[in-house]
Amino acid sequence: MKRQQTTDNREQRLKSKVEELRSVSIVIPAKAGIHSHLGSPQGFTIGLDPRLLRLRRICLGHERGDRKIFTLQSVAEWSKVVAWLLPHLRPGVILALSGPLGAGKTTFVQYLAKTLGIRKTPQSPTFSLLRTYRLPNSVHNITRLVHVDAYRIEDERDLLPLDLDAELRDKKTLLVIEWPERIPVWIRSHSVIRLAIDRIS
Amino acid sequence: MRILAIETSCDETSVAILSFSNDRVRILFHEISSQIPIHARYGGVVPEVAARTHVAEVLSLFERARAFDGRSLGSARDAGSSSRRFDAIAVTQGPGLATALRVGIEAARTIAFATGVPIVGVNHLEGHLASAWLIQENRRRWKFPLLALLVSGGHTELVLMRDFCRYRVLGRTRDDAAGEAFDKSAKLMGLGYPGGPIISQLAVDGNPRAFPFPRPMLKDPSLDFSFSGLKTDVRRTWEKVMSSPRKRGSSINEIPGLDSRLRGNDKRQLLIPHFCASLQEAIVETLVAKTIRAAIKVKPAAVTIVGGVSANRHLHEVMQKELRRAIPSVKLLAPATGLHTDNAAMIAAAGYWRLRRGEKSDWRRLDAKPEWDL
Repeated sequence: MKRQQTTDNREQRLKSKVEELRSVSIVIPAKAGIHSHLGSPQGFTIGLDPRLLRLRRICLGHERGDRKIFTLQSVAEWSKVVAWLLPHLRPGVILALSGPLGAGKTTFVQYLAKTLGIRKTPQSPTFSLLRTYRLPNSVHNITRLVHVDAYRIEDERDLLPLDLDAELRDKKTLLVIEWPERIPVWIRSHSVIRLAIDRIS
Repeated sequence: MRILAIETSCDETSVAILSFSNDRVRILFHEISSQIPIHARYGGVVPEVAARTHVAEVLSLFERARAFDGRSLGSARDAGSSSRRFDAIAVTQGPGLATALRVGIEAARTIAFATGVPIVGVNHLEGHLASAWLIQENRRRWKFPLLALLVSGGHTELVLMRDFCRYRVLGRTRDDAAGEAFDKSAKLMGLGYPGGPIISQLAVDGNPRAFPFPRPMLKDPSLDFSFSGLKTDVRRTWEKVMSSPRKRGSSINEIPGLDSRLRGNDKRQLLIPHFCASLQEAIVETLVAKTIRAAIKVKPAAVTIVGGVSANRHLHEVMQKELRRAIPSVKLLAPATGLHTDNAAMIAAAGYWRLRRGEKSDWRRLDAKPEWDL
């Protein structure tokens, strides 16, 4: 009973955010690309593996990528985006969220966390850089959501201690990265699902 | 009891030795070495930089601590004397950056191993709550239940303390921390890092009513905060006033000297104090309103505000005033100057609370808890 109430409250909270027209475009790389790097026991060496170059082309070119564009009129519609995305989510998947300050990147993560059954509401990871959430029950074998914010990373070398490749190697983790533009080298060497948010109004 | 404390959870590297007896707390040694000048270049904390400088700073602070009593920290017991330099070690275990936390933890574990003294892992947030308790007068007025507002760059929480080490989080931010709203707004206006002190300094000459920023979540019945919408509003307003050549909107008319011909840097210079004052007012009013609401609800015996943002003088004054109006009997307890932001003295205090309850950690197993809740 009490938990039900908490969930309702959260629904309300999420809805109470400023409503603004948004366009969300999601690009999913060709299926083969998503997991191919998981087999690599040492993780990635940035930019050296020829396999990565191929992945990079897929990511940047989007030729064989699966593309979907949403137009959101209210914040509650984020759940539509999450529902569409859900079948594509697996351990090792990286979601790269782009969009200006206040576009709704963290809000999207809050909806995603809710859908995955995570009880905590994700807070901005700007200060802590990285926050981790456990799923009470695994969803498509995902048991952990790692939420990263690269907003404050200006020199990509400073990403190394966060050791995102190690985070991905446990084969249980879904990784969400805000401000991927700040870490282009790392992003280019991984297969990512890109989610770009633009404000229309 | 003498406690050696180490704090390396984020910006600051700090080492302290405090002595605790029945009613007396003495700070025997306390140094904080801030990495803010380094982080200022980046506009925030970057973990690699943080970890690398923590290592250098911890070592240099230990050297200074050793100079303070002329003996090696490596030996907990004086040679030829039965009195000890310190009887326990307290170290910040989380929450914070894992790489930064581990620098302090490894140092503490090594000393615990070498000296055999007990070690206790401290929650950084509990440390902040203990920061106000270090003042003797505050200790006299330290009565439970105690309501605490903890505001910093990474945290905004209303905590009810029923006793030492017994906490209930009444409300927290749902997205951004109050300090983050200061930092991101400062970055937007091209001011430095950290944003809080700069904004409050510039706000002195500004009109707090010049820009009508929202007071987020005040209509919401909960005790939670949200500063993400305010951040968006600040960005939009800033872009609008900086790009529009004409004055638009009634609120902006109140700024004397604002001329439609004013452009670029001149306009920026004129607007910044008013922008800072309005932003500060919005944040302060929101924090105070929620704290007062919580106070009316839980009827605390004392209220404290701690954390980096609590160093904001305006926040302290408004809180004092509103608290006096709402519940006159309750005293507002604040940390001493310099102990609002991260420091090792507060970690020693929280460590003392734990140790005197008989709690201690096993140095073999002590590891960082980056996501540790209160």
